[in-house]
Amino acid sequence: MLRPHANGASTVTAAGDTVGELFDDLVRQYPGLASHLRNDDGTLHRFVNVYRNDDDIRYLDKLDTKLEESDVVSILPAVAGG
Amino acid sequence: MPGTAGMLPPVSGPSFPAGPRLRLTAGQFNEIVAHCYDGLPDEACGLLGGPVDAAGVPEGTVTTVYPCRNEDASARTYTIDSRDHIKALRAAEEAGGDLIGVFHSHTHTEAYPSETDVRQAVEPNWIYVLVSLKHEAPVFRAYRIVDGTIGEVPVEISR
Repeated sequence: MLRPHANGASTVTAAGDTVGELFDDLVRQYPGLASHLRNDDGTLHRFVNVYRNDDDIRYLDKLDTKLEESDVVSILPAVAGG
Repeated sequence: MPGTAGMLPPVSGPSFPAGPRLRLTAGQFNEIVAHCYDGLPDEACGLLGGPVDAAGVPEGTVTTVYPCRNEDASARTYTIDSRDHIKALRAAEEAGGDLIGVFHSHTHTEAYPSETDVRQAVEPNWIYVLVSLKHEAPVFRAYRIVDGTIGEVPVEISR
């Protein structure tokens, strides 16, 4: 769902001290990702799950979750239905 | 309509992209159905892991069933718990495969994707399993959902 907006890449490199800053850098590189990552009000989009080293950032500090050089951030589409 | 439970025809036409059939063991089938009953009165859900080809397309065989929590805790909707999702993904990758699909129950409707299921389906290669608990016996069906179109996937159960 997200890869087509990142030229098909499954892994990309971006910089930021927090997940929010990382998203800013990602969107600079791949503008098509913007609407998939955040709502209009800037909060995390409901239909993506974002993890720092496999820990969901919703249970950390959300978009303010701090990042270190070696951290891996994973973004997965939420699996949902009715 | 008695006698027609779960026999709704798929709406796919001849142009629907071909895909694999879903192959699972009786034990895996039972595990899925049991998790669905355990979830009542809410919808229950889980992920399926298995081998994929070089392009990442599922071969259709289920290696592991990953029962997950329904984050919505709802009888009408489901969202795979995000922590269960990443755990299942890593386990499936470790096993040399990938996640190949998702199952969830419909407690009071047929084993057929709802409008919400179609709208929120994001993985065209995934197999979407529906288990209806509406009838006396569970009804188990599998589908692919590609660009808003539903195609039924044959299910093969082995010992």
